[in-house]
Amino acid sequence: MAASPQYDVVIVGAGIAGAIMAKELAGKGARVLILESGPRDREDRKSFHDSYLTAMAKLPNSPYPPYWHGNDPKHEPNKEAVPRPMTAMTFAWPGLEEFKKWNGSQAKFDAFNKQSYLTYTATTELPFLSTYERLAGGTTWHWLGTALRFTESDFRMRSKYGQLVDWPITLPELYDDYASAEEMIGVSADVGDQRALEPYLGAQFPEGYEYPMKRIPMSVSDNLLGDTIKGLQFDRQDLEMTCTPQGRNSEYRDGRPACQGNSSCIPICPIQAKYDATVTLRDAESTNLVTTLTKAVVTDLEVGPNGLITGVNFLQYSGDVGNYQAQRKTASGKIVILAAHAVETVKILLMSNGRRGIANASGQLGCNLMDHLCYLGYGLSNQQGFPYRGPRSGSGIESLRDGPFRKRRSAWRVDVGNVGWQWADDDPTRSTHDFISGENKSCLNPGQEKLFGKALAERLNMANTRMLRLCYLVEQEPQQSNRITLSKNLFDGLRLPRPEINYSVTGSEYTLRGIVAAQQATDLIFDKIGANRHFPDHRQNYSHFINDSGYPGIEFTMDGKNYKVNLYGAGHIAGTYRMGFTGHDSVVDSNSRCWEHKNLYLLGSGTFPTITTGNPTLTIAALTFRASRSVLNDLQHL
Amino acid sequence: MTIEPPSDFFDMSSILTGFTVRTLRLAQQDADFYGVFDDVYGGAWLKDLMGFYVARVQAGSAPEDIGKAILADASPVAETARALMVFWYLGQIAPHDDSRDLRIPSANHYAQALVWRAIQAHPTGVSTLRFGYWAIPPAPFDDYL
Ligand SMILES: Cc1cc2nc3c(=O)[nH]c(=O)nc-3n(C[C@H](O)[C@H](O)[C@H](O)COP(=O)(O)OP(=O)(O)OC[C@H]3O[C@@H](n4cnc5c(N)ncnc54)[C@H](O)[C@@H]3O)c2cc1C
Repeated sequence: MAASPQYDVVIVGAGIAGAIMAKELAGKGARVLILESGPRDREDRKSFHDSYLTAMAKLPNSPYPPYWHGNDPKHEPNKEAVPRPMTAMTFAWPGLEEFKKWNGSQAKFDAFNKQSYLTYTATTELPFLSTYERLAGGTTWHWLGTALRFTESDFRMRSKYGQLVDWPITLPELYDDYASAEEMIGVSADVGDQRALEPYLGAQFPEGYEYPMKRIPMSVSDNLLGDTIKGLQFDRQDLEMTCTPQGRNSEYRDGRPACQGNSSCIPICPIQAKYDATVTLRDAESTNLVTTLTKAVVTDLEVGPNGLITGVNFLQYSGDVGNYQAQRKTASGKIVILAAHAVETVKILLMSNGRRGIANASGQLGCNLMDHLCYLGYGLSNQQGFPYRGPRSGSGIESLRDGPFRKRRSAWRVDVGNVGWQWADDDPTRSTHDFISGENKSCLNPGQEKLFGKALAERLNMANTRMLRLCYLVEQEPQQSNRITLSKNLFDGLRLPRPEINYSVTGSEYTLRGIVAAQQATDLIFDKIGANRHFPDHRQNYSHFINDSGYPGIEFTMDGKNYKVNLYGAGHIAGTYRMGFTGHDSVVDSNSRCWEHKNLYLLGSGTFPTITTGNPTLTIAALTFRASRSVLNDLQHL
Repeated sequence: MTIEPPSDFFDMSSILTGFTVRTLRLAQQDADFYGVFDDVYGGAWLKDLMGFYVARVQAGSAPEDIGKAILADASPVAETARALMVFWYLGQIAPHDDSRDLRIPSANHYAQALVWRAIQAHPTGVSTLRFGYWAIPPAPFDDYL
């Protein structure tokens, strides 16, 4: 049993959700303890940036500890105190044809699982493709900064289209909280740009609303693409380019500079023009009512006879990879808030009550794991758009986020990249190797030419200044079988069980039809761009299925046609402790409070009943503001 | 201490990369391409490449022909030259006897890599430009060489 509460509230996790909650509560005089599993060092940004610049693979995780070195995807989750999923692990996942040969072999899965933090059941068909970070400030260290509101229909899919489920909240109920979130993150956008989408998306803003900062200008290539797609229609709706609301400064604000267009927003903004949660964490701590303990890994919660949470158990560790000393401690507060993100929050709940789990009367805990499944469409434009300049992405096609087609297929938004084929094909690196060595891995050098001198520079220029990359963020249907549990035999460096995931997407026709639509829209756009003047004997649309390890893929048949597609993760991990109307079919209520444990709140995108068509973090922030009022109210009655 | 590279190194690198000696010298000031290549690639490979180059210069060959000779299929120095080109263009280098061990020796090698200039951009993660520059096209290609 824990000692009597020293704190009003204990918050687990110092990401955006935890930091906002701490700031809001402390602002009203509550004493808050934050337990954060990862490290913090106020000089971190410089060393993280250096790690990024020297990393051969510039992946979301590259700058951050625990470090992954070299070209070998293996890492040692069994030796790390706070391991997290690694994009690099997908390099160890076989290509589709090889994977088919696994044929559910437990031995093959066991071999993969040994080296991966996320482990998988043998009925899995696709690795979970997204990652997160475990350090103070959390995953916003490497978020992109896209800060879209959800649409009105996103909250009412069942009532409006007979698909998926409804949220227990409507969009207008969140207007004020969205405004608070935009103010706190510091979103740059023009509300007029967003209102222009009303014919497709419905109203998203109350009268008179203005964003905190002016919009960030669109890049040369975004403007070109915008002109190109004008007049195109898909599913009877126009394709339209819109300047994206972004959580990065368009002017000096709150001690942070305007964006300099470093183009490395993922994984690190070297000048912190992009918001990250360390900003809010610092604000929260400046109240002197918030104490943050870092390197404190919460393991489980204690439950009293009346269902209230009475203690938060954690391991405070020191030492280094493979050699940790950990002390077991307990903290307590009148209210406990888990903000450890969609995977770790589930783990803490499942590890509680002697690993029998708590908060799971509905049977939904850990289920409905979702992401935006990313389909990458890429090719060359006939005009120079000069990518690799400006924010990593500053525009998108938003006009197909909603529409009657959602009765039969999932929707998507298109994130339009500003960094050529860097994500799709590791350019300009890959094309440089190709044109020097005479290879054709980029498909840009079918003649296998070996170039040097100015001809080399010119050819690289010709290709790379015309590269276009579209990322379709496909809405994924929540499926109960996509589920996180605890591994029974694989542990981390503190002997805590690693997550075990069961994951597949081909069971959802609704999701697959969205992926097919993404492929068709890509063809439509590249058909409009037309034959390539500079590489006339090349294909128009370079998106193609890759059957290599590192490119997880799926195969399915739709309307008599066979499809093979590679999928990527968006980093939007959702659904694993969904909110709902009753405790029978959901884990938390519309204030993010646990149905079963009245002094326990669960924050983050784990509460999302559906993944929707917007990037999650603005809504995570808005729901946290909403939850904070409920917590303050509860504090008065406990 | 870094050793000042011989001017032949810049002249030869200019033929191989297509960039002016001036640009290469500025890059070398910030990141030691010469010394680090020699160190990491190992052996006497760079010396052999330079020797091959100087002999052709002394024989009066035109720069373009020297480039072709260095990189010809049968050339004993082609592999070294291509490794050097990759280093200049991407800041990536591997030891001669373990080509899979590619690495970026320092942040400055990445930041000075020529490919970014070739594509009229800046290294991803290293912008010295101002807010909004991306809304207008960059300076002409030749300015970057
Ligand atoms: C590459 C990438 C790009 C993204 N881009 C965008 C974008 O453009 N727009 C958008 O809306 N979203 C984006 N996201 C998603 C966004 O980063 C997340 O939604 C957001 O950061 C989640 O915030 P959070 O506070 O819920 O969790 P986190 O930020 O993950 O914070 C959770 C915290 O809990 C701590 N923790 C974990 N386990 C424990 C434990 N056992 N004990 C104590 N502490 C613990 C962690 O260390 C961490 O600090 C992106 C994600 C990725 C991966």
